[in-house]
Amino acid sequence: MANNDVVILVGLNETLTALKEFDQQAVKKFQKVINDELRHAKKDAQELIYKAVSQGNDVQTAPLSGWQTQKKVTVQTLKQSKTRPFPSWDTSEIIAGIVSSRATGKVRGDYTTSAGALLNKSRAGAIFEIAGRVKGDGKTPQGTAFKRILNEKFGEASRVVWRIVDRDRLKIQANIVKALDEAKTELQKHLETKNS
Amino acid sequence: MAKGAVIARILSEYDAKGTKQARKDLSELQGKFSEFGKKATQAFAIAAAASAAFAIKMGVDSVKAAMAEQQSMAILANTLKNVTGATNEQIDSVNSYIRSTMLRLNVQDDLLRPSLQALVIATHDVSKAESLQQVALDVSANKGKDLTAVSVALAKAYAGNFNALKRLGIPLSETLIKSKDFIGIVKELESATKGSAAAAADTFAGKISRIGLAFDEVKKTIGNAIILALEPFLQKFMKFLPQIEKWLDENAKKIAAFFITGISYGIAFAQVLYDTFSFVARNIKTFETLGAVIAAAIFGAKVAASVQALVTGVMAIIKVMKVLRTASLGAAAAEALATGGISAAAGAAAFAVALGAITLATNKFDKDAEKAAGKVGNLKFNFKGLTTTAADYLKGLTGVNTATAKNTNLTAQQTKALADLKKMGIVPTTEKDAIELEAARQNLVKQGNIAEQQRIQAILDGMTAQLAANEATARYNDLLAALSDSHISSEEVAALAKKWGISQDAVVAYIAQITGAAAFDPSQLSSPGAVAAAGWQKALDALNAYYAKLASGTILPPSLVPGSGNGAGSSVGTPGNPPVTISSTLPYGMPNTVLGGIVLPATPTASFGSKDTAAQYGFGANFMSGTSGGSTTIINVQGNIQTQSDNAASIAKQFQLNQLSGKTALNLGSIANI
Repeated sequence: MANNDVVILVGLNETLTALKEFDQQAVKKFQKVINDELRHAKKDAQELIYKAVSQGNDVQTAPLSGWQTQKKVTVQTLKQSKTRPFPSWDTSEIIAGIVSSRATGKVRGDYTTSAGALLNKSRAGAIFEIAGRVKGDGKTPQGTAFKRILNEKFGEASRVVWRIVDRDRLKIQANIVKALDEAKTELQKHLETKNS
Repeated sequence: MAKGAVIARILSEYDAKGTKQARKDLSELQGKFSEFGKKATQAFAIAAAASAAFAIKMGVDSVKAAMAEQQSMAILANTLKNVTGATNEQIDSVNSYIRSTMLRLNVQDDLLRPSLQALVIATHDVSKAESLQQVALDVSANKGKDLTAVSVALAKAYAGNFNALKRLGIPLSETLIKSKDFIGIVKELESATKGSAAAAADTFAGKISRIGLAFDEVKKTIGNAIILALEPFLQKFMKFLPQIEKWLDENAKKIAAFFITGISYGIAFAQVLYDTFSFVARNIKTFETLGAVIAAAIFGAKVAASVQALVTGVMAIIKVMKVLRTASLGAAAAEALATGGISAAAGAAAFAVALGAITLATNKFDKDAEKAAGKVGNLKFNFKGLTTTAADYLKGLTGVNTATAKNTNLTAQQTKALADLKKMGIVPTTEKDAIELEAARQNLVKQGNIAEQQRIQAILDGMTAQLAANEATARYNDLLAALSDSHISSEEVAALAKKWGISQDAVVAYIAQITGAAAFDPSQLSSPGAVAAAGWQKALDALNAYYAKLASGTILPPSLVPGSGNGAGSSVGTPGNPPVTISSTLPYGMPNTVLGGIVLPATPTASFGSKDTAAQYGFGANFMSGTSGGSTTIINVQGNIQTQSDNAASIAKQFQLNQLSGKTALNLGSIANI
């Protein structure tokens, strides 16, 4: 699981808003840093999916042999089923579901909003990401085997976006903090020039 | 953010919008804290007293704990120096090891030091001793044995004696024991018990023990502070030790008695000592200090509410003096002071000061918090109140609607009321107008209430009049009894006054009224009895004169006398004849009076009782006047009463019979007419 110890950026929006008046290029430069870092993280996460399926040298296959890839869910099936059917594995859908986001969202209890995150949006991708996070056997023998094999082949839970964030978070944060400091310095220079 | 997606946050930004929420949260927190502060301020006042008492014990325990720790540290340090030649730095290192082990394994340092000491003595090596102590800790935790005992056993085993270990009941390999393989024994113990101490520390009991350890550490910290605070005093104290010791030995009982009699507390103690003992005068500085300390002890003990504790405190001071003679002056004195309550009181005082500071701080924070909460808090409450009001208003509207709906239909009660109204000839404009109908019904009820109230009031008035009449009858009966011998004495007047609950003058005035001697001046008579007798004599004289005139035919019957028989007390007379006026010469210069008219009854019987009952019984100036309305008491005057005494006896007898019969003496028409 991703570590929640995140760096809280202070004055990001204020700096960029103020800096826009003086130096659009500096703003773009800063935005590029964030976007690049998030894009790289996203690609790395997507790469993990490719690696997972290419272990069988066939990107069209699922990471596990029993994970159906072409299951067609009919309306009749949905009506008869009390629960949602287990999602089939669609590599392209899962890859597409791994995205970066700069949506701020709601203000959280710690008075922060998101300034950058990776998302694993697809159902199958999310299952692949976190299956087995809760220790112990599954509810069924099949579930137990599913968790065990996933752990054996792809490691413990946090297999996609969390794994990348855990691995690269400090580097990404350092780069962005550095860029923000540079932007603030740039803004300060402009303000001093203006005042003088 | 996508719903249901796995989200891995990388960056977070502080949001200024959050500060509003933060301020709101803080405001609420301040409000709560403000409320807490108010309550706490009150609570502190109560808690301070209890805390002071607690502080005494705390102070005693703290000093003891601190001293014990100092002692054990000193002993261990001495051992380390002697056995291993340890430097101060190494000793500090050992102390750090002890502390870290204590916190890690929840074992008191007072247990760890003797354990380590035993092992150091055996091994002459601090590192080895520490390693063996770990084994001892595990064994102790695993087998439930005393740490010191295990450590001593290990120390002996290190020297080749394994019996102690065997006696502890720890299973050991006989082969290893025979070969005296200490390392093998230790390995065997390690393999069997390794991690036991840590595991025990992680249990619930271990965690509880950790709390106890933390509390002990606090006590030691406090104790050290108290000892440090006492040191200057002790130094000064020791300077005057011989004199003080002698003085206390000589005056201990006096001081104890002084406290037992409870003459005074506090500073006054020093002053009294100064006046009493010349020694104090010579050593006043010392005693000022001593007095202050004792005063502190007294106030502390006062909180504990025990005079005997004061005596114990003084005796403890004497104990200090004796202990101070020993070699370990500082430590022993501190302990004795603490035991005696002095240091404890100092601790209590410090604690009280701290509480006071907390209280002040709380008050200040309270005020500041109120200021800070300010408008935001008020605004919030106003809004809350507004919401409540609006809700109540709407709720009230609902109630109105319900009531209106009910009023559209006639209830059974209203229908009945309508029928009643019809019987009474009252027909509302529209019978379906339930509100008007109800109003009419309530009005009738209201009128009925008024009539009822009037009726009850009339009954009450009648009863009051009845009681008054009964009282008058009783008094008249008493009066007749007293006059049965044609004489009333001052003693009889006094007796009547006592019975009636009025003054003798009032009795005389009463008699004068009912006998027609109303216009007289009692002050001109020699005695109340004489006044009453004069009045009565006049009445009888008038009666006899009446009889005489009646016999001679000079008085007409009432039916022939215009205006007579109305009870107004008018003088009796006939046309052409003046009213009967009886004059007599009274003794003591009493003026002549005119008796009220005596009315001849229309029938041969005259009756008491009429609508003017009060006037009949002396409440007016007339006596025996009235009409023939009443019938309860009858006096037969058909010429057979010839003498004064017969007349009085007849009247008295009749009244007495009436009263004994349980009937009222009068039958008031007012009651019957209600």
